[in-house]
Amino acid sequence: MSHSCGRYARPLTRREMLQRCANGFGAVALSSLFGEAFAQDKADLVRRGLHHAPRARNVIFLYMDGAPSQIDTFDYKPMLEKHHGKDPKDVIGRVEKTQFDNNGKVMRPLWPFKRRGESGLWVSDLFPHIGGCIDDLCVVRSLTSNFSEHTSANYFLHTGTPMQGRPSMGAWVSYGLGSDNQNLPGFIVLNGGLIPVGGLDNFNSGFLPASYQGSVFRPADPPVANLKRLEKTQELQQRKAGFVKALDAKVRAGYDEQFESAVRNYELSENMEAVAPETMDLSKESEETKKLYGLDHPFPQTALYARQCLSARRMVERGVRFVELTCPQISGADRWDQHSGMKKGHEDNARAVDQPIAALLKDLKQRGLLDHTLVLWAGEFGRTPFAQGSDGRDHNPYGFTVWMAGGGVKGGFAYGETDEWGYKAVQGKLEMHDLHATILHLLGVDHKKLTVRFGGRDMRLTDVHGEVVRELFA
Amino acid sequence: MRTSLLLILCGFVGAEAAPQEDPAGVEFFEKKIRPVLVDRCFSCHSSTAAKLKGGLKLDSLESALKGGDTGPAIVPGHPEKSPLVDAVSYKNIDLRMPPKGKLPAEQIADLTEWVKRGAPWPKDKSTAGGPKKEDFNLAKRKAEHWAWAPLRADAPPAVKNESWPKQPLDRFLLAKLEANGLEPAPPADPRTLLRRIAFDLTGLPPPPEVVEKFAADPSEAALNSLVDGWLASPQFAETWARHWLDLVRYAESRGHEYDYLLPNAWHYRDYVIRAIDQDLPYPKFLTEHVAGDLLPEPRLEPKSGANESVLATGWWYLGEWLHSPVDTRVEELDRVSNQIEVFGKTFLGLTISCARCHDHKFDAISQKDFYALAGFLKSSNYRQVRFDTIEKERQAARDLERLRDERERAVIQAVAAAARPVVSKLAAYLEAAAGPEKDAGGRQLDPERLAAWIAHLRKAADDPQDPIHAYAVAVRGGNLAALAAKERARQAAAAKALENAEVLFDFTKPEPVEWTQDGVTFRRLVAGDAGWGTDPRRPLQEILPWGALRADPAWQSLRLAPKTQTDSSHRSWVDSGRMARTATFALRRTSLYSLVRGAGHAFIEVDSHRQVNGPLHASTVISWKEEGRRWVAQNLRHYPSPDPERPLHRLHVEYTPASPDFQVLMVVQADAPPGDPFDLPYRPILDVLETSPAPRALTEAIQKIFGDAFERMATDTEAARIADWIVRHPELFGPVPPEASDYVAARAKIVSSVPAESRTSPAILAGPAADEYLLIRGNTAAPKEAVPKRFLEAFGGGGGGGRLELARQMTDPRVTPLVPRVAVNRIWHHLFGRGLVPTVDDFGRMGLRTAHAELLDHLAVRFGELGGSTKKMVREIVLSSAYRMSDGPSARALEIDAANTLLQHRTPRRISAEAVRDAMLAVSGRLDPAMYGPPVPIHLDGFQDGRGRPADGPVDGAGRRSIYLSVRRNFLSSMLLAFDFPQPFTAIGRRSMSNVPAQSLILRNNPFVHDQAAFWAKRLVAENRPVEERIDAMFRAAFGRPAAADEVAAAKQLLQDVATMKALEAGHVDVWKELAHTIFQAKEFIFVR
Repeated sequence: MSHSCGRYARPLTRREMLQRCANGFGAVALSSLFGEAFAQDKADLVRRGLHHAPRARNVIFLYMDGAPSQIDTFDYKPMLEKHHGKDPKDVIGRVEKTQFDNNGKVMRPLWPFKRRGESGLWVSDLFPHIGGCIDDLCVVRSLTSNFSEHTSANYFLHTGTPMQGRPSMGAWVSYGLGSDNQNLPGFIVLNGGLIPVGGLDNFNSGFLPASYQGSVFRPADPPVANLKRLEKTQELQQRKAGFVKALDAKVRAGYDEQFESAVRNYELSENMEAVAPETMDLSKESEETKKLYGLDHPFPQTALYARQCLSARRMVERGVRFVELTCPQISGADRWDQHSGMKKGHEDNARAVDQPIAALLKDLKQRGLLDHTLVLWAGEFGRTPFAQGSDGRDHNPYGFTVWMAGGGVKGGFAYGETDEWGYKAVQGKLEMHDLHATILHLLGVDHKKLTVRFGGRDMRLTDVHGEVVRELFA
Repeated sequence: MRTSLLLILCGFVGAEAAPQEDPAGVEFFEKKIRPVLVDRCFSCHSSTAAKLKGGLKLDSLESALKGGDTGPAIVPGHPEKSPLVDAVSYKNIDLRMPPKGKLPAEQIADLTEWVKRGAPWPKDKSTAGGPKKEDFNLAKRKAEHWAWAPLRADAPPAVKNESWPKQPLDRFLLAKLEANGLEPAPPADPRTLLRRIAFDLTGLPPPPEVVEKFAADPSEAALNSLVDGWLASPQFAETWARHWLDLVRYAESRGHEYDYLLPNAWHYRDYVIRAIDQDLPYPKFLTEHVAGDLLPEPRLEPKSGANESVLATGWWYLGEWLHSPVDTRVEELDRVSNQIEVFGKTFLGLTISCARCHDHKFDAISQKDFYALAGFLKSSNYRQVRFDTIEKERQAARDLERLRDERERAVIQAVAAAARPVVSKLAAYLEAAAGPEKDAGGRQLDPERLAAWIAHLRKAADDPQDPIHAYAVAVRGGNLAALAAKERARQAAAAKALENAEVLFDFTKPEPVEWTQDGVTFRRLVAGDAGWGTDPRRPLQEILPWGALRADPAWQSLRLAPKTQTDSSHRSWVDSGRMARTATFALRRTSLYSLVRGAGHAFIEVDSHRQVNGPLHASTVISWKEEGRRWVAQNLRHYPSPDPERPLHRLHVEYTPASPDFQVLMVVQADAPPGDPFDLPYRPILDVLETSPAPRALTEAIQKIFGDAFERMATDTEAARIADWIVRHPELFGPVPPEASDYVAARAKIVSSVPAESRTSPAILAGPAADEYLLIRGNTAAPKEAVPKRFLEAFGGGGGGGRLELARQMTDPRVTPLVPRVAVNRIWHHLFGRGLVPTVDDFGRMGLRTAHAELLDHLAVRFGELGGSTKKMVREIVLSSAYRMSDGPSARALEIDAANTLLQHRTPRRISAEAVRDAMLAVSGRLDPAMYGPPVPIHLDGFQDGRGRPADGPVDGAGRRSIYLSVRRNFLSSMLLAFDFPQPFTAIGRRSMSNVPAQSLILRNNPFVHDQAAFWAKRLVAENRPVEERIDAMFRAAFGRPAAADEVAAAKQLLQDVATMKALEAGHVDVWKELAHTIFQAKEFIFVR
């Protein structure tokens, strides 16, 4: 039913279409829509639309669901030892409202701290493996959030707003930078079992096109929805696809660019069906590598998280722009959210992630990937220096620790301080938008320029806030 | 928080006169102070700041004295009063500047010293000038932007090509094209046109027989009749209802951590479908959305009498709700902002919620406007409305009122008359009951009554609440002086009962108190009023000695219809139609106390927070079973206000009865439990005790107050207390007269005319008026003055009479020309894929301008002429030449208008997410045309996990159209999402149209698609037809066109190959299934040109 009788002008090319789009995107986004692979040459990247020379190309976000405690991990506060058991109102002073409002006494760290590495930064015994990588870590001890409940704080950490429906950091990054691998999504979520509170909206594309939403991969076959053919044989599937293509070819001439893209996407989806399972297939990794990550670990959650971390490396190798890992589910421990039973809960969580994360850092480094891969380790907030009940800690958004590694940040470096209780950030206080601005900057993107017009405004990951923290840069 | 507290603090500091020039001081300033200001403060607090924080500039003395949004930063001479000094000292945990790190101690000391010295600053040398930002000028902005202007009713312009226009609208379009030297594209061929119209109007592919008929006779008449048929079809209503649901962020759950159910939201969805099906005029539709609960004559469903209009108001509450916010006030503002955002975008095409923190950056919308609109919501609250029965309940309540007016006085007189034989001889009864013989003797007393009195007298001696108590004590020879002292003490205690409490609502006195209710259960009664029961043996329950909000027990029987969903929260009771609420008030104390009688439930809505789940806020919910009068305490220490003058939290209380005599007398707030102000002695008895304490004096006094209790009860509390006592003791005063039993029987008959069961739906309830505060920078901790509620100032403001008045202003195009403009632009958008104003939700300055302003106004005016009929408007557009153009630009169009803003030709489009799914169901034959009803749970794939995961639904959604699939915020259909089904978080008038591999993966591998192919194949194979004919039929069904010969040949080859691969016969259903599946994967299937 071709109507291509010459009466019509030739269809627009994709490029023409975009260039005419009056309500269009910035130059950065343009490159992603073309889906062109990024050159290695940084000057070339800038020429192609990045705002400045990037320090990182990829991001691996190790999301610590439920909020690990800063004062039991990376933020050493001897005052807590000294005043253990005292009423926080007497020694700390004003205590902010907390989620459960069931605040007990000042509680000392539950694990001893040691100075580690050449940098001599303090890390508690909760993370012996990660502690061993401390000289690669850029520890930020002064992040704050604006929200004390998980859902809002999760959205805030992921999207820069406390509400549903906004694009996730990974969506912004893949929208801005595109993917280096046309056969894999630019933003992949490796679901270790725990979908963060607030649900899949943490990974959404919001008002960005749906293609930028996080594709949730699980450690199973198929790793992603609708990837597995339902035809008995590949031959049959291909025969059918041949017919589909013939039908499309017949009518495409009269249609516009949209139709053309749909045809191209069909081919792309065929490739994805092959590439995605290959990416998730760890069988060809060396025994040494598998052991390093802990694929053979007796604690099943460690083995699971090890698979996730190793898969993340493979994705970065294949050019996936932004990989986020969610934590494994551990029975008896509700994420890192230890309102009670802190000792066991935090220990189990740490056991699951400590070795795999350290292995990821070492493996990336050894393969030369860490230079351009930014690893971010963060929860949605921290925990209180005083107990909830007798053996837990409540939520604390006023000052908590996250760390980064690789991707152009300083290793063995600590930035910012909380007060002597580890309660509130007092030096180098960072807001969530500052963290986002800094990450975008490392990727060669000016957070103020990566905008999309929506609802009458130019929307940004950083809303109207955010300052780049250059002190973190190597 | 940081900034806001600074602002608050600033607010209390008065500015003092600027000091005189002081050379040493100036030197100190230049050396020690200016460098610090420049280095550490100017990046946020100067004219050169990229972004000024808190409105505070520190680059001149004048601006430092003027200070931030609320007041000065420094008070010369008074470091202790200067927020700037406080901030840099870092002592105040919430006010630490600079935020990124404390200044060195020396600099802090310098700054303190400098302020102490009187803040010397060189004259006329402000450190930085910089261009002054233009002040917000609403009138100027309004005048400068087209969208605010009145509608222009221009005559259709002249055109050269007179044969092209079919509708007046075509002339506007053509004139623009001609002026640009363009010719409109030729009309689309009949099959293409029909497929286009079918998808646009019904969201489904056209039935093949309809296409063939039209292809054979593509006449104007045939087209008219087809269009009319489709406009009248249920599918039109379903398709266009879904467009509307995108605007109101329709969902059936509340998102966030547990994705709690939003009960019965689907009734709203059905309302929209019905409204569009019935072609409810748009102004009426809008009015129902804004104020459907307030219409004096709501639209009723003709058969059942259910209230349609009130259902529309549910949209206000379709957004996200948090279940355990730490800061309820912040959460409220987020929620209200979303409501105003959706309101503004949907009806007005304006981004009003941008003005939450500041005057709008671009449009004629002030920050005050935002808070003026917020007042409408502050004056209302969420409820589940009994929409089936609410009108019948109201009618019954009016009937009850009439019955009361007609009969109650006489009935009470009859009750009084029935008691008179005893009352008139009460002294004799008492004396006989106390006398040694205890018999009726010659006093002509009723022996049965006397026996009762004898028994009662015995009890009364031990009951200080009994009016006969003093007499009983006296005849027993008790100590009357001691009793008098005790009674006096009781009186004194009652007088002091409330001395440490703040009385919020006092229903006991006759003065007006603001309250409202959901339903008709409650009645405000004053002292001396009768309280009726339902038991014919005790029809008159009580006489109220003090006024109260009393729940009428006649309405106790109200129930929910089976399967009605209820809110998940700590509230265990159903309050629909049985709830009374107070006005909104500010919390200033730690606890709230309600003086109630009877068992009941109370819920305190703090900052409109209702989703009470989880650890916090449980104290806002309380139930009690005790029957007597008592204070019910609720601890609210979670909601403190640092400053009682500027309370952070505002609340109201909602009461629901749990026993037939439930009433609310008084609500107070206090820091300690109040006493009972109504635990009082009987004053006339106490008088006797204090003056002549003797049994004879007491019987005389008793005789006197009992004798005329019924006559005086309306004006005398003591009389009312006695009358109440009389009706509560029928054994002492004789049986109730038949008039009273008849009266409650008549009442019961009226109430029973209302069905006890009703379904419920989310709706708004108008409460007593309350205004919202203007919040500086949108910060809840920084309230300024209250802003009276009203419509946008740019539309004349005014109003303030409530939502009904607001709706009236909005639906008057002379007041609000944007309403019809936005509405017709949406219709155009759905029919052309792009609005005349492409940014359909934003007609402000940041939106895109239209190339066809005259056309837009023509349509807006025409919409009014058509009575706001969506169907008629759609009809005019669909039958226009503009709509019928074919796709593909002319060479010149490509050259001068490649984006096709002038609309020279049609732009092909992928069909919507719902249409992709529905088209498969329609083609396969699986489509269940059933309309309305509870949502079908969506099918969850293995990747959809998380808290609140609902039950899995059938893969094929039971064959229902997509609009009937459940919309759970955290568990949206992944198939629909991939095809750009919108996230329901704000008004989405224009869906994104993405084109991604995930869509292809779905078409290739999703079980739903395969299942539908199999279903279709089964149906096809069952029709015993030649292979070629069958293939042709498939093409006609899926693509709206016959199969070409080469396509038939290719399909046959495919069938053959598949049969070989599967080792099946070519005619086998499994073979045909594979062909069917390829057709679903063809791009032509999901594109419309």
